[in-house]
Amino acid sequence: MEDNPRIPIRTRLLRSLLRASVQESAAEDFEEHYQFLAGSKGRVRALLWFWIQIICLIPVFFKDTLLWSLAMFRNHLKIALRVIKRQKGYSVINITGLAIGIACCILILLWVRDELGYDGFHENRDSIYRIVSKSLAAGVSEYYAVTPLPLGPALQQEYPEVVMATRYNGMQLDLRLGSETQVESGTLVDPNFIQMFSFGLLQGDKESCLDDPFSIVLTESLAGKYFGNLDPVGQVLTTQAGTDLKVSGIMKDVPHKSHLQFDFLISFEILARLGRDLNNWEDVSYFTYVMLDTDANVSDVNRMIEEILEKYRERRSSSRYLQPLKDIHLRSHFKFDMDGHGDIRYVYIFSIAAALILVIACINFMNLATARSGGRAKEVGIRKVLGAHRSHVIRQFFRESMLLTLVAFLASLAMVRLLLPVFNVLSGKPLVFDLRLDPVLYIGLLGIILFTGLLSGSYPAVFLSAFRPVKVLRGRIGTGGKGSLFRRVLVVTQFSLSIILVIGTLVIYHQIHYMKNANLGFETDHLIYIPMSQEIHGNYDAVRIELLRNPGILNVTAVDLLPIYEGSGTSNAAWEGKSADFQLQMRIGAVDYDFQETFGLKMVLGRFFSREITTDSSEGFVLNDAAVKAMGLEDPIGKRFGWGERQGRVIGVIQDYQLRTLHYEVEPLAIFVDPDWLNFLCVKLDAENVPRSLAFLGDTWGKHSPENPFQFRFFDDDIDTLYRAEERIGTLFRYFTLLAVFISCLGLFGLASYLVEQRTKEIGIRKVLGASIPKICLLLSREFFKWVVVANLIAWPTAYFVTEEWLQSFANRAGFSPWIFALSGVLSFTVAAAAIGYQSIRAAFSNPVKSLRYE
Amino acid sequence: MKLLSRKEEMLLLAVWSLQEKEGAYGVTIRKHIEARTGIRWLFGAIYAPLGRLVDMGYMETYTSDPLPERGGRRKILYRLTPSGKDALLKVKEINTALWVDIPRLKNKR
Repeated sequence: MEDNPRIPIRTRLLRSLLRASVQESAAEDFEEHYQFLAGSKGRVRALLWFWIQIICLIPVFFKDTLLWSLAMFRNHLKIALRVIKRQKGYSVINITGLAIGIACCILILLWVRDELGYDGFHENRDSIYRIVSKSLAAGVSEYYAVTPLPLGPALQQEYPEVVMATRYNGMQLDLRLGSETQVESGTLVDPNFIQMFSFGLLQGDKESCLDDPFSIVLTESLAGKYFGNLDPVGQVLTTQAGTDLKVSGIMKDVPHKSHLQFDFLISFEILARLGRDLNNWEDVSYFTYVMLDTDANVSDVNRMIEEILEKYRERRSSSRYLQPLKDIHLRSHFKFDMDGHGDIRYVYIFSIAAALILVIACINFMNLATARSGGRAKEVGIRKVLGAHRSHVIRQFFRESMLLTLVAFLASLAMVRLLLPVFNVLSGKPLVFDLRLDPVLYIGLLGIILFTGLLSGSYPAVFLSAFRPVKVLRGRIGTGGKGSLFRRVLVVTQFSLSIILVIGTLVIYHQIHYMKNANLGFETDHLIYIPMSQEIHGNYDAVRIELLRNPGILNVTAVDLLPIYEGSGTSNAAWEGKSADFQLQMRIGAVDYDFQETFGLKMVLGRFFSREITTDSSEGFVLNDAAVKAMGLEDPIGKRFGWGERQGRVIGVIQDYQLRTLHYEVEPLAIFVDPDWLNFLCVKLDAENVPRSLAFLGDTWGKHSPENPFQFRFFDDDIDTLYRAEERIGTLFRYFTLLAVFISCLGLFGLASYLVEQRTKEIGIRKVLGASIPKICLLLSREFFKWVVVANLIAWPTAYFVTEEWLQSFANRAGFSPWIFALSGVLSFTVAAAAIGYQSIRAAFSNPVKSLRYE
Repeated sequence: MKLLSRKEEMLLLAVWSLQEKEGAYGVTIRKHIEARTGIRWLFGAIYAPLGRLVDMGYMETYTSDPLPERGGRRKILYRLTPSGKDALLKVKEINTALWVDIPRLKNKR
């Protein structure tokens, strides 16, 4: 009858409020009297009476339920505290394990929140998109983040759905104030960039501060660096090329949670003033951001972009589409993209790791609680005899696990406070743990507590509450049987999870090690590079000859862009025998004649540029192997090749060398000689006397370019920093794994000590009958080692599949080697031996007289 | 021996008288007492002593046969146990014993 929907709410309410002892009869009586009243005084009066009765019941109801549950709660709390106190060792193990687990979770939660929160501060975040492209060449989809130079403005002009559009192109610039020059990184944008994004302009006019092509907007800290306390607006900074830029605005420092990072903004218009053609649709190396009208349809805009490209570009082999702003940080896998993007997979990996660590900690709790159940069995029996329902006992154990979780949680809060600075160094993020800043964290923390408390309490509650009072109180407690099988499963699970984490760590470490030591195709030993100042650039040949006179300097060359770093690109190259609809995105770069020798590169075919052959500088091209393959050329030497104004012939093919980080495959490349393009001076030093050669370099630099500081970097150092993102992830992962392993060890230690304690008498008898110490050790640890073997067997294939997935993101993979599995196996055995060994040795050495006497 | 309180006595009497007729439960008990004494009790005031009387063993509950007016459901009814009847008789005995000396007063009224 309860579930009959026709029962009015008031009746149901009344029933739930009434005391159980009178519920049945009283509810019926109320109903009958209600009918009577309705008959005699009308329905309204009757209803009124009924509701008044209900309201009057509420205080009594609260008194009843609260009072009694409070009384039971007090009792449960008292017992729980007594148990904690009585079994100090186990409680410490439990709470430590849980606290470490929760602390890991909180840290990962902070990290994940941070990663997911990128670019969320822009007011227009939901209507901003980046235009990216998918190339359709040769059946393979390739994704690019760059777009033609005039695309943005054209879209904004021709389609009202596009409210604003801005181009974006990061750049390094030498900025001079007085005699001080420093290299700063900033970006070229269109003036409406400031309105589109909410970076926060502190001084200057939001709408017009970039209208003057020769104006510059600085961030607060950059302005402080140059001008100190002076008012920066209206001041002038000079570029290396001698262009004066007037400071027209100051903006807040770019928050770390922005995928766009810059210290200054300059208008794109400046390029036009400096003689660049801004209407060249074939100039494809710029990012374009658009802000759409709120009711614009994304797929419509995608079509418009296609239309406009149809109109202006001669050939097309790629389709463009819009990428939402919120996807840019975590879901960008484009070529020619800017650096510093996160990866959604790392977010997943760490979230999973957090969950695994928490599960490992919970398993500890379950294991120890059930192993110790013998001690609690009598209590459960008595409770049941005194009238406790099974659900009451279940509730009691959940309360106990919740209490322990809460204690562990408080401890973990302290840990997080202590560890956060270290974590920030490791993760390279300025995270703060402040609940006031992020209310969502509350939900996360509450979730962690509930999850931990419920999970760790679940098995003990079910297991312990099932005890039959008659059996238990007669003294027969089945500690073996079902319980111990489940415990075994738990330990194996726990160990498998730990081993998976260990293998993950090793694979990451292996891959990073591989990347840092991989053959990039060129020699980097004692190779330094120096950004050239204008004076050096002008005097390049004289400087080169002067430097080469020093025996410590083996080779000198210059390039426009360094290998490993982003270069320019073109999709416009044409060559002899190219089919009309085929388009190839290529990297292009200018070099000097000595490039090949200085970088230790080999020619595959033909020859490199030579000073003796004058046509080389005007019409010679050298391609890399990848380019020849991509172009499908059989015999490349002597073929016509070129793009735009630059036309010529291929004179040689150079071996493939790594143009970017090892995440990427070697892309097609064309290099040519053009002194105007050169930006960096590269010097190969002799391994001996490096300091003296550097001093000589500095002197020569000072002679030619006294105004500019001599700033050099070793290539090797740079390569070390290239994989910092992976290294960070690797380091973080390593620490979390360590903690996970530590937690499982704690559990194993506790379990072993308990099992040994249970078998004290057995060991005593065995010793009396002549068992040797090693035999007893073996006896005690054999079971554990069996579990570890099983755990390894489960973990290996799982870990293989999981890590294989991660490795897919690298074009150059270290691959799997058996030693990773071997090492994880050895490690798990060592760790298990350490956890169990102490207990079993102690038991084996114990005096049988003592262990047998106590009864 | 513990004596019944007045309220308990009234309840027990009401139940005794009702159990032979329409059956004793909250509504009828209340009506019965109101009709005889003019005192209208709150429902809440009935259940507590009723429960106590059941606990003391003077009364017991039973379920009636299915009733048509409650959709074929059974109703929980009260009836006296022998010890409940004994207790009532004892109270009555004491009462009459105490009233014996006071015939004139009674007549004057």
